[in-house]
Amino acid sequence: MNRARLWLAGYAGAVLAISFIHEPSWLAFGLLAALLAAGAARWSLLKRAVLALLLFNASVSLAYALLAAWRAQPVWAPLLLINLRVLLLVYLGFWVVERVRLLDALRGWPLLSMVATLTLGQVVVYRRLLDDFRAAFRSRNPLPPKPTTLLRHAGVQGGALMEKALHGAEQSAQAMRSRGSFDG
Amino acid sequence: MHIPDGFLSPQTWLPAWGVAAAAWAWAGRGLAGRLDETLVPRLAMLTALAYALGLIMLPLPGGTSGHALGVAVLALVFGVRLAFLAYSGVLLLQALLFGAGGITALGVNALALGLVGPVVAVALYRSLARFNEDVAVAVAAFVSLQVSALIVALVLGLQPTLARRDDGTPLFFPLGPEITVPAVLLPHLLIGVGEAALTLFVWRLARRKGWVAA
Amino acid sequence: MADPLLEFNGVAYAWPDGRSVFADLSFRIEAGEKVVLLGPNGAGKSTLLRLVNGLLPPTQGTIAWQGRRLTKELLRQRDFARRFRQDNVLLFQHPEAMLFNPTVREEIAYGPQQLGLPDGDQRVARWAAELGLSALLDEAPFALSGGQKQKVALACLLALDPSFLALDEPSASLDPATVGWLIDTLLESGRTVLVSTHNLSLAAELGERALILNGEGRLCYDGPLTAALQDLELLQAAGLAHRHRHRHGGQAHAHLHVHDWESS
Repeated sequence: MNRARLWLAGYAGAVLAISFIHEPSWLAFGLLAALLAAGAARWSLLKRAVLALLLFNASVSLAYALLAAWRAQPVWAPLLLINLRVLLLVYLGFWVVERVRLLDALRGWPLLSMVATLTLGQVVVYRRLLDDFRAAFRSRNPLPPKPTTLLRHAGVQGGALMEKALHGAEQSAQAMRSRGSFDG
Repeated sequence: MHIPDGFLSPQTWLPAWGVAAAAWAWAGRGLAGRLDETLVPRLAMLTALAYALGLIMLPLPGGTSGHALGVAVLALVFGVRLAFLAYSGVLLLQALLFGAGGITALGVNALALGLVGPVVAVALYRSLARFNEDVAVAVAAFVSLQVSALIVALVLGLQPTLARRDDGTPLFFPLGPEITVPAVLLPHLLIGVGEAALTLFVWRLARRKGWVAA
Repeated sequence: MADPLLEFNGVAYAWPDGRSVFADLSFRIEAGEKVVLLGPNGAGKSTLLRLVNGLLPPTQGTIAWQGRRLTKELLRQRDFARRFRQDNVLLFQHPEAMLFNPTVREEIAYGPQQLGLPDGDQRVARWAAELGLSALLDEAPFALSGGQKQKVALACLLALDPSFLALDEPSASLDPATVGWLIDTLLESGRTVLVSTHNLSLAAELGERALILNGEGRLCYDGPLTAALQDLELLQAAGLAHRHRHRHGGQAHAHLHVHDWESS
């Protein structure tokens, strides 16, 4: 089992364990351990994790706090548990993504590796296409455009993406065939 | 719109992963024998396409905007199986590559958005297409989005009942369906209009260009 | 002395991930000038044109349009934005990205309509005729060929009657006849033109002045185009010339060779 897969297995195990831990102190300890283990990247990872869940968690927490207060139920203990759990899981997720190269983990499964590699390559192409569309739209719209125009623009982007995807698939298939990828 | 990590109880997400795995096996089975040089790139392109469609912004009232989903149009053009696999691929990439999280919730997200959504879309399209194709496509896209959203809302809303301490306090997502359903459905009703328009536009193009059989 | 039309002062640009595209660019373009932007692939020509069009803010330095510093706030002011987007237009390298209306007619009419210009129909008719698009006015832009799409995109821009036209690799998808038409149209007008291109014949016919980016994101030349075209070392730095081996009668030797990319 290569390093990448070990990391992913460890991550899966941690995620499973965290789902069964209901003591905030244990979760806090887990977070501390993860922060220590992450090395120099720890604070930027933590910051990213906090930013990623800030809006959603804040809204959910506020709603619950109001509800629980109104129903005279405990407020802080559940919120502490839930937010710690989410923070720890999101942080671990970011950490794993930093450390693991997905393509390394897929080594040994050539078809999946191929799909993953092609997909990632195409994602870059499609992002660039959408960037172009967005920039061109801004260039042609000095004033805020009408919603119908925005909708049409969304449709045009979707169509352009689909066209590119199908064209790309055809080209890729021909290239693979010509390089004998599937012979034998 | 998919569920972030840490809000689902293991009694939810573990079985969901199991069901999703079975569903992947089913979706892949018809295709595994045909894993030739056309299917591999096709699947890759579709996954990338599914990801990119999710980057398109749709207008919302009040001058804001939200992300499109695009899975309905994938289902209508390429079928439920490929749409499901492509969208699952997107979720996997988002969790393991782009760090958008959601690995525990992946099973639920894949089933709700990637399988149920497409099934509803295709079923609605097939039953309504004989009356008016454009309406069928728009309704299929709109309703499938709402159904997916409703499932997500219910799964979240059930957490306080499924997983709680003896004193009744929640261990995972803390709000019940009376809050989650309106909170999730309302924005999706609004963005559903854009989603329907996007789906219809791409569908028409696909028909015109012959990417989908009449 | 009047303000130049466009002025870059110590402009640097880096991608969000920190990679630098170019550093310390300073130049001025006066009204009426015809300027060619040359440079190897990846030198940042497209990015530079986006900065010129106010689509990207510089990471350092300032960009001034008619003496006013271009900032996000300024571009959000309706009055300025209207005048700016009418006067300063950019033809993208991939013209499909520019089109989003249901018919060619509506596409060309979109800009004038947005700006409330009164003679929209005449503008559409005029530029469609000039570019040979009259028969396609009721067609959907996405159904057209690449070359036709670029003509439509051009028509959209010219319908605004801009004073400044930036073009990103226009000869990439235009047929030679249209390129010729473009050169004539642009040369005759008093418009200021900034063209990024690999095509040295286009450059030679259109430009009086050359701005050359080297591969490291710096401006390595700003001066008369004719002199630049005769400086082989300079052209090599701009990725427009390279050494390769030639065989003449059984003997091989290396040449510094200028290529017109379009004809190679």
